[in-house]
Amino acid sequence: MNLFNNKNMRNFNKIFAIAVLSVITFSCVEDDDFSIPETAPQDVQIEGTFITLNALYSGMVQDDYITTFDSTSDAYTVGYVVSSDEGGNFFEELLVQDSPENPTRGARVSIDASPLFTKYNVGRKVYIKLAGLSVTTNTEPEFDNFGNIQNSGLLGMNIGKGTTVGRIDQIGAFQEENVFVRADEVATIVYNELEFTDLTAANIYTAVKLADVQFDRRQLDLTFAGEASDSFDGDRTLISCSSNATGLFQTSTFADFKSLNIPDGRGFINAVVATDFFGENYTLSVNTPDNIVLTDSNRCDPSFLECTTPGAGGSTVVFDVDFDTTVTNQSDLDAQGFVNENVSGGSERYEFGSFSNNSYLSVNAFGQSDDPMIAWLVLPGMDLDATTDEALEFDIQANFDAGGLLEVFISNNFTGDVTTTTWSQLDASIPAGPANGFASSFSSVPAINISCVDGTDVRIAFKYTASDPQGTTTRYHIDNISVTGN
Amino acid sequence: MTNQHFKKLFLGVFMLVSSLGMAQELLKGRVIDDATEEAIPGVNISVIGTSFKATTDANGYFIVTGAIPVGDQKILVSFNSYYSKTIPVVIDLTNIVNIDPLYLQLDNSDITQSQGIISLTENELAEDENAANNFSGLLQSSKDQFLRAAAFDFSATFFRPRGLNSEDGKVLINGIEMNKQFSGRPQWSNWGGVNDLQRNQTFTMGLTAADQSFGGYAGVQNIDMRASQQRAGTQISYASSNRSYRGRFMVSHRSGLLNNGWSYAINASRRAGDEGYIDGTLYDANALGLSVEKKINDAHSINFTGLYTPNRRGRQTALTQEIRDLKGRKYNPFWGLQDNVQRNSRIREIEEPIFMLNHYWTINDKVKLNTNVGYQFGKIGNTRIDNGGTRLVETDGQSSYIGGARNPNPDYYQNLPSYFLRNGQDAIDFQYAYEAQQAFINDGQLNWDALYEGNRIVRENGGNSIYAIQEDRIDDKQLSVNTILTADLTDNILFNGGVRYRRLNSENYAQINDLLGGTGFLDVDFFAEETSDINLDQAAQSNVRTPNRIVGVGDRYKYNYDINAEVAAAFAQTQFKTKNVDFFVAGNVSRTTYQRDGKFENGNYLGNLSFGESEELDFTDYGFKGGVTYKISGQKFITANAAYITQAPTIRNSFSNARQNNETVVGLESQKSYSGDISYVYTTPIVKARITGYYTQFTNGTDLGFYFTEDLTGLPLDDGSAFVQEVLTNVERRNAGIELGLEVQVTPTIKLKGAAAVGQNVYTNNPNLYLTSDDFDGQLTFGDGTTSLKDYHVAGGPETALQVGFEYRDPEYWNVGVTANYFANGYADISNLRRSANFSQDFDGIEYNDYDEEVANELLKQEQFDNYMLWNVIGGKSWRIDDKYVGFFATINNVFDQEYKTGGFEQSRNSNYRSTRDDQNNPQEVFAPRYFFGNGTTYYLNVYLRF
Repeated sequence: MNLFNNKNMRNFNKIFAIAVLSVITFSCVEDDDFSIPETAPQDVQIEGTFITLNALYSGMVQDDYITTFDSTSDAYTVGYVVSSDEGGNFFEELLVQDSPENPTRGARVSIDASPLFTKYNVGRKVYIKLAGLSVTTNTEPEFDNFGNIQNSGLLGMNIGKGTTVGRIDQIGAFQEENVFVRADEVATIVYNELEFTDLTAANIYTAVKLADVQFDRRQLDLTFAGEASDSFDGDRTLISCSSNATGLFQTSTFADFKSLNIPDGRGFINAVVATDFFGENYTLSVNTPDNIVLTDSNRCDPSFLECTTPGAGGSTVVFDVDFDTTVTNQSDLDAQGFVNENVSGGSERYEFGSFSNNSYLSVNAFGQSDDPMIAWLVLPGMDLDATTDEALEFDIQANFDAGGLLEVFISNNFTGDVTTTTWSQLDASIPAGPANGFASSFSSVPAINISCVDGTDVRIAFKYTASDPQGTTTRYHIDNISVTGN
Repeated sequence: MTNQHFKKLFLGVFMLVSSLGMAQELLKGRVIDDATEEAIPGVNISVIGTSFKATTDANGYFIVTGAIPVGDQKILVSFNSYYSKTIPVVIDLTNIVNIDPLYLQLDNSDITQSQGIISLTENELAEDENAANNFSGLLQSSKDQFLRAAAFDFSATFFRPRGLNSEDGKVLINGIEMNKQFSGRPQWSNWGGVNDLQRNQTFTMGLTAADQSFGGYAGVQNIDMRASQQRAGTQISYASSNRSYRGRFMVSHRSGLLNNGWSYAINASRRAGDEGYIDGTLYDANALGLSVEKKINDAHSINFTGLYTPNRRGRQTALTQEIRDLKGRKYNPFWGLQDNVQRNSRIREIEEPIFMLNHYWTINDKVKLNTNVGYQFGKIGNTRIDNGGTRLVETDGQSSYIGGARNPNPDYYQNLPSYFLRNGQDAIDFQYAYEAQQAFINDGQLNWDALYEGNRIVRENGGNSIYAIQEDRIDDKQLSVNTILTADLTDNILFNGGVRYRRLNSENYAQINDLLGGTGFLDVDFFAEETSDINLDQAAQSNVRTPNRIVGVGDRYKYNYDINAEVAAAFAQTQFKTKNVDFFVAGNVSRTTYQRDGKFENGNYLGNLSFGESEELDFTDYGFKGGVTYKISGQKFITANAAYITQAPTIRNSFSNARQNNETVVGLESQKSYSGDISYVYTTPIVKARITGYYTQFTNGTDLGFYFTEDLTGLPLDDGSAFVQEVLTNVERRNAGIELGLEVQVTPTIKLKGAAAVGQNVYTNNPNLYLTSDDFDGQLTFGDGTTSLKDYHVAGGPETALQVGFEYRDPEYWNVGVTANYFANGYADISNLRRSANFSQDFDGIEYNDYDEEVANELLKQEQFDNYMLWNVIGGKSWRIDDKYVGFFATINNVFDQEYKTGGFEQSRNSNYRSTRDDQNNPQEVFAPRYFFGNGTTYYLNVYLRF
C-alpha cells in the first residue's frame, strides 16, 4: 500500500524543515573571499650599536680590509636601497647608500634571496644587522713593494659571509630576517650629477646621474646584453659629451631588457656605480630601462670625413709600408718623409718594435709623465689625384688597453706643423684589446674610404692620446699601412 | 520474520492456474518490501538454469511467460540493495505458481558501504590523471566478490582491475553516457552527493553484454535515477569522516509511484570540511538531485532528472622522499596562513549541472524503446598562483617586461636542503642546508603576506601585480541525445541496439581570480624568449590582436580557445540463450570529430597557426565483441569473451599544445586494441567462486606530457633548456593476468572471503617520441625517433593484490567484517624522455665520452614500490522502530596506519645521462621522483534514519 498523499506531504515538510535547519547550523568552510592583509612594515626601533657606512668602511680598511662581526654583536648599519632586481639586472645582492641624497658611501650586501624588490624597494630605508657577518672589499687590494695600496679607487665594500679578503660569500637565504629589518620610510633617491672621471671609491654602490652622455656610435646596432658574444654581462661604452671620457655600462645577460637595442640618442642616465668582476673598472648599471633617458637626437659624435664616392681600394698601390723592408728605423722614417713627434712636452714618440720576425711601430704612454701624452705619426705625402677609389688600410694590435685613444686624420693642406694643420678625422675602428696583456695578434682595421680627398700632397696622420698619471694608457702596435686605389 | 514469510510462500506455491498456448503463464507473483510493505518495481525474477525470466512492473507484479520446464525448479529473486532470494517451486501445467506476496529484505550495509566508496572515488589528487583513473565507483553495485574487493578494499591503493583505466569503462545515467570527451573518463563529482537516488545500478563486468551500451573492457555501469524506480521512503543521514570531507549531511525523499502516475525523488546533501586527511585540503560541496516522472499510460512514461552538485576542494600534490622525510606524508605545500586562516592556493571547483529528459516506451511486451536527451553545462576551474606578473617599459619604441618573481611554492627545489648540497659539500654548504632544513620543518608553507607585500610595493610605484591567482577553466556545453531499443526477438534471443549523438562546445581559458592587492595584471609571457625570427615584443604576447593588455579579475588571459567535438555512434547486440550455452555478439561504429578554434593569436604562432579553426580531426571507429557461456551445470559455467575495438583519441591527446597553437599530434590515430578473457564460475548457496584469465593488447596509443627540462640534445650547448610538450604515439601495451574471487558462507552468519589479482601491465614496443616548444621550431626527435619503453611496467596502482577476510552478520541486524589485504608490484612512472637517445647523447648528438652502459642501466631502472599490507574493518547495526529504521555504519581503513605509496613519477627535468647521474650522486637528489602517499588510518561513520 502506498503512503497517502497528504502523509507524504507532511513528511516532506518535516524533512525540508530539518534539512534547512541543519544546513544552516552545519559547519561552514572558509569561503572564497579573502581580504587584503596589512603587510606594510611598521615603524621599528633597533637596539644596538649603530655604525655608519663610512665608519664601517674605514674600520674595514683598518682591519686589513676585512672586518668580521661576532655572532653576538649588536652592531648594525643603515642604508637606503638603490638597486633593484625587478629588471633582472641585479641578482641576489642589495646595493645601499648611506643617505638618499648626497651619499658619501655605498655598500653591497650579498644574500641568497630573490626577489628582493618586493620587499626592499628602491628608496627603502633598511637596517642591516651585522652579527655574524663580514665586511670586506669587492676585489683584492693591491700593494706595491712598499706596502702602499695601489687600487684604493676601486675598492668598494661588500657585506656578507666569509673570511677571505676581497671575496664575499652570500648570506644564507634563511638568514634574511636576521639581517634585514625594513623601516617604514621610503625616501626618494636623488641622483647627483657626476662625470666618469670624477668617480672614486666613495661612489661605489651609490646612485649617480650621468648627464649628457651617449652610447658609443660603434655599438648602436647592439642590444644591451643579448648578443651571442655577451657572457654573464654585456659591456657597452658610454661617452660623456662634455669630457669625452668613457664609462663602462654593464647589463646582465639575465636582465629582462637585455634584448633591447641600445638607444642612439643623447641625454642622461640614472645609474648605480659598481665595479666589474675583476675589480679593474667602474661600471654603471641601471635598474630598469626607464632610467635611461637618451632622447636628444643630436649626438656629440666627432664629425668624420665621409666620402660618398666609392672607395674600396684597388689594385694600384699608392702607398705601402710594412716596417720590415724599406722602413726599419727612425732614420728611415726621417728620410722618407714621415713625421714622428711628441707635442705634449714629453719625449716619447712612436718607436720600432719587433716580435716573431715582424716589425711594427709601437706607441705607449706608460711611464711617461706628460698628462696627456700626445704623439703624432704623419705619413709621407701621397698623390691621390692620379687614382680613384682610394682606401686606407692598416693593422692594429691593442695591448694593455686602459682607455688610450688612437685617432686617424687626413689633410691635403699640411702646414708642416701638426698643431696648425687643419685635419679631417677619419672614422677608424680601432680595435680594443686586453687590459692586462698583449692581444694575441694584429687585427686589420676595416678599410677607410678616402676617395673624396684630392691633392698631390695628402697627409695621413695617427694621433695617440693617453695619460699614465690618469691610468688611461694603451700600447698600440701599428703595421702594414697601405693606400690602394684604381 | 523470514520464516513466517517462507511458509506463506510455500502455501502460495500450491495455487494453480492452468493455461495453454504460447502465452503460458506458469509462474507469477508480486514482490513487496518487507519493511515498508511497498511494491518493488524492477526486481529480476529468473528460473535458474533456464532462460525464463521476468521483471516486476511498477506495482511489483511479475509474470514469467513461456514453456518453463515442468517439475522442481528454483527461482532467483534479486534486486539492487536487497538480499537476493532463491525459492524452490514446482511448475505444473495445470496449476499456476503465484507467489503473492514475495517479500524481500533490504540490505542496509550495501547502501551505507557504498556511500563510503563514493567518497573515495571523489578523493582526487593534484594530477587529474591519477584521480579519475580510479574506476572503483563503477564497481560498487557489483555482486561479484572480486569486484567488491576491488571496489571497497583495493581502490585506496589506486589498484586498477585488469590494468584498465576509467576511460575503458562507461558510466551511464538513465542511459546517457557520462564519460567526458576531453579525457574519456567519468567526472564523478558531477553526480556525487546524490547517493540516495543512485541505488539502482546495474554493472556489467568486462566485455559481457550490457543492455544500453557497447561498453568497453572495464564494463558498463548504468545508474538508474528514474523517479518511479526509486524505493519510496525518506532518509536522513549524517556522516563523519577524516578522509576528504569531515561531515556530510544528506536528506532524501522518494515518493515511489503515486496513484496519479506521478513520482518524484529529491536528494539534497552537503559535504564539508576544513581539512581532509592531507593538510590544507578544504572540501565544500553541495548537491541537489531531483527526478520527476509521469507515467502517461502503460506504454509511455517520461522522466526528468536534474543534478546540480557544485563542489570546491583544496588540492594536494606528490612529494619527494626528502620532503616526506622532513614534513610527513600529510604535507601539502599549497596552503599558507592568511590572517590566521588556512588558504589553499590550488582550489578545484566543479559546477556542471546536468538536465535530462528520458522517455520510456513499451511498444509491446517484447519491445521497448528508450529515448533520452541530456544537456550539461557549467565549469571546471583549477586555481594556481601566477608569479610572472610584469609591467611594460617602453624604450625607444621597444617594449621590455620588467618584473616577474620566482616560484613562491615552499617546496620549490631551491628551498630544500638537497639544493644546497648539490655543488659540493663544504662547511658553508652544510650550514646553508641545515638552515634550509630547519626553515622548512618549522614552516614550509606558503607565505601569502609576502605575495601581498610584493604587489603592494609595486602598486605604489604604479606597476601591475607580480602575483595573482590564475584559474584554468574548462567551460563545457554538451548536448547528448540517444535512443536505445530492447527487443525480445524470440524467447531466447534478446536484441539491443541504439544510436547516440553528442555535441560538445568546450571553452578553455585562463582567467584572473584574485589580484592579491594589485590593480591589474599584464597579459604577457614573462618567460618568452626572442628567437631569430620573432622579437621579444611579439613572442611575449598571448594575443597579438590586443597586445600588452592589462587584465583584471574575471578577464580571460594567457590562452583562450574552444574545442568543438561531435560524436555519432551506433551499436547493435544480440544475446542468445539456449539450454547449455549462452552467447552474444555486439558491434559498434562511431564517428568522432574534433576541431580547435583559437580565440587568441599567440605571438609565437601567428595567423592560423594559433588563431581560428584548426584542421578538423576525423576518426571513424568500430568494435566487435562476443562471448560464450557454457553451462556445465546449474552451478558451474565457463565464460569466454573476446573483442576487437578501435577508439578515437581523446581531445586531450589530439592537440599537442592546445594552449598556444592549433597543432595536432603528428601521427595521430585511433587506438586499436583486442582482448580475450576466460572465466570459470562456480556458484552454490555456500560457495561462490570465479577465476578469470585475461589478456588485453593496446596498440596505436597516444600520450601527452608537459614539463620543463634541461640539456636537450639538438639544442645549442648553452641554451638546452625548454618548457616542452612531449608527444608519444604508437604506444603499445599489454595487460595480462588472473583474477580470483571467492566467498564461502561457512555458517549462515559467517562468510569467509578472498580475492586475488595477479597481473602484469607492460609496454610492448618502443613508441615514437617527439618534443615541441615555443623555444624551438618544429619537432625535436632523438636517435631513431623512438623511446625505449619496451618491457617497462605501465604505472598505476599495484599489479598484485590479495585479500582474505570475513564478514559476520548477526540475525539481530548487526554486522562486522575484517579484511587483510596485501599489495605488491607497484611501479613508479618513468620519464619517457630519459629512455630516448637524448639520454646518451650530448648536445651535438654524439654519445657522452664518459657514458657507461652499466651505470646507465642502473639509472634507468624502474622503481618498484615496497609491498605492504592494509587492514580494513567495517561494522554496523540497524534497529527497527515501528516503521522506521535507524542505524549506523562505520569503516576504519588502514587500521595499522601503514605508510604506502599509491603512485609516483620520475621528474623529466634531468633528461640525460650526466645530469641524472650527477644528481643521483648528490647527498640527496634534487630532482628526485615524486610520490603520492596513501592515507594513514581513516574512518568513516554514517548514521541514518529511514522511514
